[in-house]
Amino acid sequence: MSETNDLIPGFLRGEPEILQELYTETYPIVKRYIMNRDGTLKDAEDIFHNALVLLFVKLKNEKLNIQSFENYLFTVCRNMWRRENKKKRVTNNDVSTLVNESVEMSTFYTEQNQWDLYHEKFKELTDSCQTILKLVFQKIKYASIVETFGYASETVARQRVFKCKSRLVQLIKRDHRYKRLKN
Amino acid sequence: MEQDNFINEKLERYLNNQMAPDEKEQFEKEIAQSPELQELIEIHQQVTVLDDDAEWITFEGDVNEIKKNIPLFEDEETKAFAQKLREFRNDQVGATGRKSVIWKRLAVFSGVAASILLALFLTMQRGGDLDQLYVEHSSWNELPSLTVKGDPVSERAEVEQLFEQKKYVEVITKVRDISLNSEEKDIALLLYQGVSQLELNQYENALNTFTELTTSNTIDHHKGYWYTAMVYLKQGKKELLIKSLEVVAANPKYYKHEEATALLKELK
Repeated sequence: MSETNDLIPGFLRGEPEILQELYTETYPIVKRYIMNRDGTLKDAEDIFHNALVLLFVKLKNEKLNIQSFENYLFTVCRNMWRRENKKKRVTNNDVSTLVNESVEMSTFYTEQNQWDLYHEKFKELTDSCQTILKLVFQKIKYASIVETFGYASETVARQRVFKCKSRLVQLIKRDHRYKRLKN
Repeated sequence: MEQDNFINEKLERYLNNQMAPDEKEQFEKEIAQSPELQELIEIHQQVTVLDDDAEWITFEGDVNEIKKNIPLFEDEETKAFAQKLREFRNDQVGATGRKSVIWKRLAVFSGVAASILLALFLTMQRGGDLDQLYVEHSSWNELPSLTVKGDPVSERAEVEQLFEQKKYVEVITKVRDISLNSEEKDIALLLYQGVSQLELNQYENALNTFTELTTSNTIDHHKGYWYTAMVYLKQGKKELLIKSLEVVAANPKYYKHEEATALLKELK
């Protein structure tokens, strides 16, 4: 796979070689992810297409700080699919609403920016905080967490968790992007 | 800072449903009067589902933030890029379709010649794309059912339900709990454990589980070889994958013997 910085200019120009590379290397992973979660081949095609358009807009309008283009592309696809799934659940599958495509894309664009901010702040936590919070977010029982980390008791584990979570909330709230999103 | 900790500790207990009824009632009154607390609760709830496949954090902020970005998706440059993408994809899919037609014509040739052409065709099509092969072969529908008729609430049945809900961490924890209380090795449970570890990309753990399976003195021990191959396939470790498949391909009675033989041909 090309280096991220080499790939971006060609991607923005829509060069067939770059698109070919993305469809050969990243699309199969996205397809597998979506089809393993009750999606269809058409869902995978649509999500991948829309994610590429979203990345085009992001790269044109923001200074995007990403380590790997294909990892970020997969993240965007995954988040789009999570959003689609939630939408289906909320609308109970049988309510079809006509929504303007640009409005949908813009809404997701804003939500992805919000996710990027939360994720970036999560990564700023210490490794041990990240690990313990991941377990809590996966709803692992505190008894297992106590065993894994060798804490003296569940109370100690809970104190650790709320300290990590509070730190995360503090980091998010202090960021100027959060203030912009909320005002 | 002290005050922050105090509020967060209270919040944590509130969100975890650990408050006594009267304390909860009192705290909810505080929340109703405090936009700051409402905001804190919102962030706490949002970060909890940051990576949850079943959830998504919707945007609840100022709607103008969305409105201001709409033109970005309506400008001519974006539309032209989207169109370029569609044309590229149509050409690509069209080309694959044409290849299929060619293959159908070639298929009238019989015997060895056709087999060689098929192998060549598949190699060209897939370009050794192990990811694609993993998608095709990693079907977990054939895992044995753990639900006994008339007993849908047993611990084993719970493992199957958790697996279907893709709660792989819980599957692993549950299997471990069951195994601790059992003296016999349960092959079906080991399979669920190993595949869950594979889904979570815990490759070392998955390999250990499947090795436990292959070295077990049970009738189904050979299933471990196929699943070991799936670990290497997902990791993209072609040489180790081929070695595992060769074991399955060499034994006609082994699980997935034919599939392993076909896959080997594609890889070589």
